[in-house]
Amino acid sequence: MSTLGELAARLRAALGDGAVLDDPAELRTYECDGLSHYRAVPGLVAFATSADAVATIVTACAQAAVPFVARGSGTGLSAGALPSTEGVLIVLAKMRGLVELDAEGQRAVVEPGFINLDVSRAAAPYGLFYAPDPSSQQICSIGGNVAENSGGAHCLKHGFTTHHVTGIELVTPSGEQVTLGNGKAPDAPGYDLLGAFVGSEGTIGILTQATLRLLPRPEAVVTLLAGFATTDEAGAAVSAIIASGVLPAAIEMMDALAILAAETAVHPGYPEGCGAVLLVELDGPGIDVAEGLATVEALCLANGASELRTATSEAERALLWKGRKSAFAAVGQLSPDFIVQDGVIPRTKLPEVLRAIDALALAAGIRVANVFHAGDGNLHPLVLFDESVEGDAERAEAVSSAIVDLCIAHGGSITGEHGVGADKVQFMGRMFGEDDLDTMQLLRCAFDPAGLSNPGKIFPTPRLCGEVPGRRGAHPLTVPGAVEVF
Amino acid sequence: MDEEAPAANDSVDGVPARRTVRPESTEALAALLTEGAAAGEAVVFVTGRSKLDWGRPPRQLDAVVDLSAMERVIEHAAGDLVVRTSASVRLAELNAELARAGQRLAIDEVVPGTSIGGLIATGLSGPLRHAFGSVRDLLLGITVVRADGRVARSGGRVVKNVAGYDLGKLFTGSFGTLGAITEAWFRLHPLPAARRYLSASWSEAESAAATVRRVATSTAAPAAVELGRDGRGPYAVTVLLEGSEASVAARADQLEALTGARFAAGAVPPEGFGSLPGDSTLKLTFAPGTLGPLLDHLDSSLAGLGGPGEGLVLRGAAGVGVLFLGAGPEVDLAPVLRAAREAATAAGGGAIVLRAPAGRRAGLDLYGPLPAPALQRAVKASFDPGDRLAPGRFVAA
Repeated sequence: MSTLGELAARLRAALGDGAVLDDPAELRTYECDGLSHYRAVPGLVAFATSADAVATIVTACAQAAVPFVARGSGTGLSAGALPSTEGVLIVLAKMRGLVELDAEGQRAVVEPGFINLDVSRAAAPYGLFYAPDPSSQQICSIGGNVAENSGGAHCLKHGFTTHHVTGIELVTPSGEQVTLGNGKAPDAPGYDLLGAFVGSEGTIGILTQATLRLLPRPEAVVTLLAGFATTDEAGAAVSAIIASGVLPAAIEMMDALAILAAETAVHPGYPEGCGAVLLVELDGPGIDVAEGLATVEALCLANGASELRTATSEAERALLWKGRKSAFAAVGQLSPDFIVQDGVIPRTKLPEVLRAIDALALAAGIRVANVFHAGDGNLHPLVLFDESVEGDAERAEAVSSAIVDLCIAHGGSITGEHGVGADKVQFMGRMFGEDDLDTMQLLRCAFDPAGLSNPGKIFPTPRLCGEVPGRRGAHPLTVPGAVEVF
Repeated sequence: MDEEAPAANDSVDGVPARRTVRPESTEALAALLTEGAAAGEAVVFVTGRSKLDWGRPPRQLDAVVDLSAMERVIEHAAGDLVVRTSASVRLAELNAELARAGQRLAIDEVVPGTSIGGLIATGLSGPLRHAFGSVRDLLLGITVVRADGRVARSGGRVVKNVAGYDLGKLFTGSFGTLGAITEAWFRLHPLPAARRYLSASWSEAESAAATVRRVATSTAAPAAVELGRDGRGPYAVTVLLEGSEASVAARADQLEALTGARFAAGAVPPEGFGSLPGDSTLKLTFAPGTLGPLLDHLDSSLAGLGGPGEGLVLRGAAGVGVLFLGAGPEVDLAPVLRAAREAATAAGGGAIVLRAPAGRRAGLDLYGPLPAPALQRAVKASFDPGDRLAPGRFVAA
């Protein structure tokens, strides 16, 4: 019997027949995550319903030297849950329990498959909410959020997943169940392995439980929509808002093409003839929100805003957000295919980088729609193409790739929230030097010396653990002309 | 490199050093560590020397590597609300410079003289962590020199970034046992137009704890929620509000209405605010919702352990689950540590000895149970296979 065949038999015996899939047709259902042009049919699929089950599966994989990949809701956008054809895909979507809601202590304890938005729903009756709000929050799971250190529109003020997890339980790549952090308490003694785990993209273990911090729901929330003639003006307004000392919960921008897409699809009624729209949301004590709104309105007008609208009720705010939230899907109506890019630049560089993206698109004859988190410089250019037109996909890919290089050249990052996954492995050597990547992998070697946990993700060149540093030849990707981030 | 003769009194935590070296650049530090790796030399990094009585004495010490002479860099990108700073800069000095542009690194100077390197190496945060998070939460990027002399970076200068592992968090609080921290990027915040400190005290733990929880879960967005108690005295709660003059006034009224407390309000912090109590200090952590039971537990189990004189002082960011317990020189630490650890553990956290004069730490289990001890040791062994960086000084090292 093959290694995978033996593994399947062993897992069936331990977890029951229904816990394992090995039928080729059924396996195909799991061949990709949210980034669907990366496909690999997993060798096996195993469903875990408890931490013990995860440990059983991982232990079996470790003993058989078979790689494994964890998957939650499968909504990731970097092919971080791309299966290994020779390995086991461990599906955690059935582990979706709310273990505890401690309203007095502002904590929620959840299983990895628990859906992001459901945390805030469970906390709402107590006047609390869970801050990280990735766009996919209705379907993405906390396990995936922890793996990717997910953000969202409101992380400008409230921070990312890493700021809101106080403790986790995980299964290490050798199959051990361990606790990191201090449960509901902060600052566990020892190294901050919890901090290192969040955002490690499934490469150093599998989350089985997370304790999340809940925040008081703000007293007041106001959303402002401002229309500008150009993205230059809107970008200048963003810089002015940041510099003023007002810290909005979110600052989102859409350019002309994104506005057109949204209008075509959902008719949000954005100001006519605008080249850019800013959505600014302020939250906090009522008096602070009122003061902040006055400042933001004045700065938008001073930077050329042609029209301002504000909304305070939930229904009115939803209307202003409707165009932004549907923008990605709306672009699908403008173009049969598109690439969603995710890069970060220092927020003061917005106008010049947006102009550079325009120039790239023009030169390649490709359309690029920009819908993004302007407040923290997190760009999401949507690069439009038509698969059926010869060469179009390649041109779009080249533009998309050039945009990432622009981010690196401006001192930014190759990913703000989607993760490196399999998709951006080739960019890691452009953002980081060889020693940087080698040092990151020292952490991996401590957790996963055999390199079985989600192999092929994040790092262009796996480090052989125990290898004497400095004696191996440089990998061609990581040396010549490596651009460094600092 | 300016290599000094063995300073007459240079030592770390009572362990004498054979020599002290003062590299002036990252390159010099890297060369020094590469040579040290070949020679199997054990080193301890120091910068501000303000926390040398923290942790455990090094098992072996060949060289004190003093980073205070390293190039001083402050690159303030005000428009982006970020700063790049070298480890040798002092926190107070950095904040004085940032203040000229109306900004700050929102971390309290808990120990006077703290350098950026020491700040990160110890991860020490004060009252502002309630609203802004602790050192690790504001750190965006880091440059370190490894045990083998290689220079590595992680993170970056942008506020949002998920490329690669977040080694900044791993190095925060690692006490120089994984590598030398030479440079960092931090996220900044605007300085507030006004600050108001609201203080009130209660003789009952339950009332003080209830006030802390009500304020922490309120919509008044406090910057800090501190609780303190001197000896057997009343429990004092101090809330810091930041914002415009009108805003802090309105929110102070709101909190009085919410809690029923009559706060004394002032523009300056009350005595001792944000400083570490005692000459020996324990750090207690707990699940924030258990503050009331924790205070009751401590009240009974610490009774009689404070001795005469200054006794025991409790103070910390109670809203987020941190309390420091300071002891004067006359206090016997062992029973205090035992009682504090038992109470904090029952409250979902734990207790460590943060600092104490050398003679008073001997024989104490400074850290208590460690989560994932095998992984902790594996991380140390992976970053420092020769066990040369501050060997024995930290819990996992």
